[in-house]
Amino acid sequence: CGDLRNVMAKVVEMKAEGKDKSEISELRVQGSFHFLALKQLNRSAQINCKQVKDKTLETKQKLDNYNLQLENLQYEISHLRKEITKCLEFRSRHDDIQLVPVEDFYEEAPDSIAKSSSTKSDEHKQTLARLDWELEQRKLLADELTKLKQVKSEVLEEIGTKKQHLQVLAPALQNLLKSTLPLQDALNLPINKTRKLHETAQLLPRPLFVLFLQAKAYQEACDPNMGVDIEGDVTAAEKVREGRRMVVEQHGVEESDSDEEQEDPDSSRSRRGRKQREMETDLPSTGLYSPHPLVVGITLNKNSGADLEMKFSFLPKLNFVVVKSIVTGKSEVVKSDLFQNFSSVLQNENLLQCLGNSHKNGGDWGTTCPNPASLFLLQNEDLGEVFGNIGRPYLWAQELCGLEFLHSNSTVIFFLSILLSANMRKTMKKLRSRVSSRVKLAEQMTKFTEHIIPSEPTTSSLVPNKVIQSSLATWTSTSSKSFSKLGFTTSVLELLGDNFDYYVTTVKRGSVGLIAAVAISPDHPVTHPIFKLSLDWMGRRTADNDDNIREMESELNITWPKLVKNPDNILPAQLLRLTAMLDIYIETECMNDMNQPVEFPSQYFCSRKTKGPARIKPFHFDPVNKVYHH
Amino acid sequence: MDKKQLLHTTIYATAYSSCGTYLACGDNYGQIAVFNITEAVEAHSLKSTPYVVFQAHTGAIHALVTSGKYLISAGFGPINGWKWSDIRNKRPSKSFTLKDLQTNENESYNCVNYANKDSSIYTGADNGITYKWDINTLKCKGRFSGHTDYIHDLDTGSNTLITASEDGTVKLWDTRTATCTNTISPCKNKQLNRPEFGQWISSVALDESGEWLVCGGSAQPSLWHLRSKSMATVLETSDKSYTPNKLMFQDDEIISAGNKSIIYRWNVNGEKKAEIPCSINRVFSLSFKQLFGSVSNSLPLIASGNSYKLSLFTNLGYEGKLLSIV
Repeated sequence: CGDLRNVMAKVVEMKAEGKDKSEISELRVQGSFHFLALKQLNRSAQINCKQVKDKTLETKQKLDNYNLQLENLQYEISHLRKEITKCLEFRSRHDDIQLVPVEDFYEEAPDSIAKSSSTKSDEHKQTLARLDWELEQRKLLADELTKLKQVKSEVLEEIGTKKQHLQVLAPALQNLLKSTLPLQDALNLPINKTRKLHETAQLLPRPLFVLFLQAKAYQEACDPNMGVDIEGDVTAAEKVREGRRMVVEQHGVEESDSDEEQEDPDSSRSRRGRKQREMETDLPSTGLYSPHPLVVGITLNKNSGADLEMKFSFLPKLNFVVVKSIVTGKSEVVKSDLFQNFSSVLQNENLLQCLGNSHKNGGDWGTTCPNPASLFLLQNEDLGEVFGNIGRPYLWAQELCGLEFLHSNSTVIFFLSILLSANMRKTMKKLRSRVSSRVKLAEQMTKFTEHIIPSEPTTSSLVPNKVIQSSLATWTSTSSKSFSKLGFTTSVLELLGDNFDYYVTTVKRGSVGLIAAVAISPDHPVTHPIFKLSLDWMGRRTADNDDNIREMESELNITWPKLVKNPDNILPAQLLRLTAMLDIYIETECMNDMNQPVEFPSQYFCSRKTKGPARIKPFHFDPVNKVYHH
Repeated sequence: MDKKQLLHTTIYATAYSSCGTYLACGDNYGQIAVFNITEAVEAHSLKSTPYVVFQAHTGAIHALVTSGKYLISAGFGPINGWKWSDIRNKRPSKSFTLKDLQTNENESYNCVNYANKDSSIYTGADNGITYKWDINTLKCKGRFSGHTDYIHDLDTGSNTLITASEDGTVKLWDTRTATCTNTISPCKNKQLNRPEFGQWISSVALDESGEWLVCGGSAQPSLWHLRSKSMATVLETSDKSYTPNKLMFQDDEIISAGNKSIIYRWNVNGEKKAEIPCSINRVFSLSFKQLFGSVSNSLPLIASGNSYKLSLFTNLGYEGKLLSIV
């Protein structure tokens, strides 16, 4: 370049000097050469530059490639990591599947699935095998399910067709019934009557329905002398039923047939709930004591000539059953005038008292409300008067009707029809024996007023067969108040309470009179009559001041009843014993006193007049040796 | 027990165990009820129930006595012996019976006593004979016959036995020879005789010295001097129709109970000391605690009779609580 510049400069110089043109052209050539060289140099520089640039570009590209590769790899790594964590976090569904336990699995599964040799060591394989087995099993079960479903649908279909069949049958039957009506009338068949009765039965409130069902069953099975009937206003009952049905539908509960409900074994609670609903709603009238319009009547015929008629009515508002009873007599004995004097024995409310077993825990007097739930409703009411009009809610009646309440002493509620039927039998038997023993009692009392003590050979053999000098003078019924006024009876009253029937009788021997106060229990003769004595002879002698009177009472109330075989004969037997003992008492007492004229000569030989620290008289009679002993 | 039966229960006899903790009582239905008296006295509650109750006789039990480890019951049928240790374990069982072959089946005994000195049991029977039994051999060692009616009560002193009978006499016997040494007839004494009640002596007791005896029955209760065989004094009662069922010496007093709801106390000279009201209508038995071996009696006193309850006296001035046999 410098050369060129020199050349140029020389040229310029030469030019300026005007030198020789050759020199200039030489210089020009020289300069051109220099130019050429310059150009070459420039070119090579250019090429070099380009080469370098290409090189850098290439390496750059390479670098980029590497970078890309790196990124790819990193991405792959992170992806794999994610994958790993995903795998780690993965919960297989088989965890939720309840598998057959391992032991069972090995027992049940075939070896093709179990592969016990390989799976026992490897838990994973084991799990897989178990899953396989499970699948197999489930498949089987699913098959079964579908099969059963099919069967079910078939059965349903069958039922459907049968139902249709029945629906067709019903009108046909009705037609048949209608057509046979004249025939029935002609033959006097009770079919229709029973049918009607059963229709009315459907209208009964549940407790009465249960009672009706049981009573009817009992009547048909065991007791032809029993009558079961439904009385009352059927239309009113229908209204009540309609009202109830509406309400029940409102509650969304399907009204089912009473029969079905009864068979329902464990629905006592729900039933009670429903009953309470009925209680709230099905009362068109307002009174607490208004009974359901239908009444179940049960008559027990032929109990020693007397019929017992009981009417069971249901108080829906109070949810218990009350009973009213009437005894009607057909036989001549019952109708006789004298008998009427003691018909109170039969008409009395207490005829039905203490029938159940529950009287052991305080008695079943039918004067208190049996349902604790409705007790609060009655707190301010005079129950005695009310129950006198509509009947009394005895516990046994509630039991008969399947109404079980929680009593203060029992916490068990049971509701089984078996129990009910057993109960029915027991109660009916008890009622029968109660009525017949009452009738006998009334007969006996009639005899007593005629100064006769009826006796049976079994008991009369135990007392001397010579004429007993003491005799029955009077026999009167009395109230517990006048009974307690007698004075010597307080200890008995304390013991018994005032639910007993009280009688006063006098036994006379010459001038000596013995007053005997007799308490007869409502469940006579299961509980024996109790005697208290008072002898008016040289001062009043009672158990409080005379050990012998006390001994006589003990004999009458405790020892003697154990010897009397026939329970219905207990009262005459006791009276007989009393007269015999009075004889002995008076005769031995007279023997003490040698100085006075003997009003009462001794008829019997007794080896010893007194015995023991209390100087007890020989009241026992030995029927074999005909002597009195201790 | 049946409520009705309670109405007619009479407890004729009571007896303490030799340890003084337990008390047995026998009623007219043949049952023996045993109480833990120590507990009953200490208990705050008024109600007290028996420790154990068992049927001992088929008929009434008339007398009970403790002889060492045995409780002996007399009444209808033969005499029965019961071990106190069995009773304590609540498993009473008859450990022996005493029966005289000559008496009939329906025999009954009215009184029983135990004499520690010659370890003998004396029993007064229905046939008027008093029997002496050896407690160790359970053999009859003597028969004291002479009374014409049954024996009501008996008591023992040193070599003497004294019996009171329904025939109205009191007889003294020599226990060694079984012979009657003396007979007293209180009913023949004009001061004592009460013909309206008949002629019988229901109770007799001998004092420690053996010189004085008390007896009573249809005749008024009276104190007699033995050596002179004469009546010393009449034991006065406010109620003239009182007939004693039980007379006994206690310290320097005579205590008696009978057909009235009163327990009488007299000084030994016959002067009346007190009349304690008792809730039992007619009392048949009085029992003091008597510790084994000691002569003197100690409280509490138990009275029993015409009731299913026993009356407990922790003090001779007034009645304490009542023990019911149910």
